[in-house]
Amino acid sequence: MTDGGNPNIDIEAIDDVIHGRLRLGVMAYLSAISPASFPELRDKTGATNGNLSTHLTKLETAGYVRQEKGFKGKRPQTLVYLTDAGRAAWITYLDAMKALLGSN
Amino acid sequence: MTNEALISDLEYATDIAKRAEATPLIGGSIGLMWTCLATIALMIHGAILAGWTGLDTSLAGLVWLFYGLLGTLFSVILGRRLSSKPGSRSLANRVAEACWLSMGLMVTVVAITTVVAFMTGRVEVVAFNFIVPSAFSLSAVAYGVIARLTGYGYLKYASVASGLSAAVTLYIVQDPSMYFVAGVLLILSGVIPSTIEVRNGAAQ
Repeated sequence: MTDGGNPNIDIEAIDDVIHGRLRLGVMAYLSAISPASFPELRDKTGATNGNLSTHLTKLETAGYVRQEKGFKGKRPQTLVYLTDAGRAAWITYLDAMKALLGSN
Repeated sequence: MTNEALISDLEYATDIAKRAEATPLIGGSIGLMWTCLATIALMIHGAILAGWTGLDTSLAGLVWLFYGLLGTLFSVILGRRLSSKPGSRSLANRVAEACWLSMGLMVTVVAITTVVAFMTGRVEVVAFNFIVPSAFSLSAVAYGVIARLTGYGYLKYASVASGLSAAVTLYIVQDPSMYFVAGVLLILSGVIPSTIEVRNGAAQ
């Protein structure tokens, strides 16, 4: 794949579920702080509610995160956890990135 | 996808991860509350033993009972507020919470055992004094673990100060003035580090 004459990388080696920009941010944050509340993730990634919800669903479908809906006092609260599979995929993704960028 | 786009995305993710890792400890207000209460309790205990209050020395136990009840109540109130703060579930904050909870439980176990041992005539009243160096020792360990994890200098200082406080109070454990000395040492080893932690959290 080429784009404007720039040197390219092998996109096939990258986990596309993780590599959306916002999903990358979510995984990065959860790798350090898990669980995180929905508003916390929204504020830290700079996403909107709808956008974050869409991308969390995609990560959850892949089994990388788990959303737990509950209540904190009388207020509804959603906590997002990084799953074991998600942590493994995150590490694999970072390794793939190192390999790809190191080869360019 | 170009390298520039990829690198930009990775920088974005790295920035988020670094900011998450750098989340300050948020339990400073609880630590400040406990150390201030303990300092007051130590001073009152010292004043009772010195005869300045005219109260019977057996009432010193009530001071510590109120200390425990008030501290637990305020911990619940403050804990509710803190649990919803961003970063409250970072590794450092979870370890800090576990360390202080364990420390508090162990001091409680030592205190209750001392009361039971005293009431059954197995130990002299001076045994109560040993709770103070025990608490400083446990604080030194808790501060040391959290300092090792976070690298914060004020926690290293707190760990060393708590260890020295344990040594000093153990050395003068039979002297009634130990409680006054412990109060001053707690300001240096607990109140000041907690104040720094509160300021760091507020600056986030």
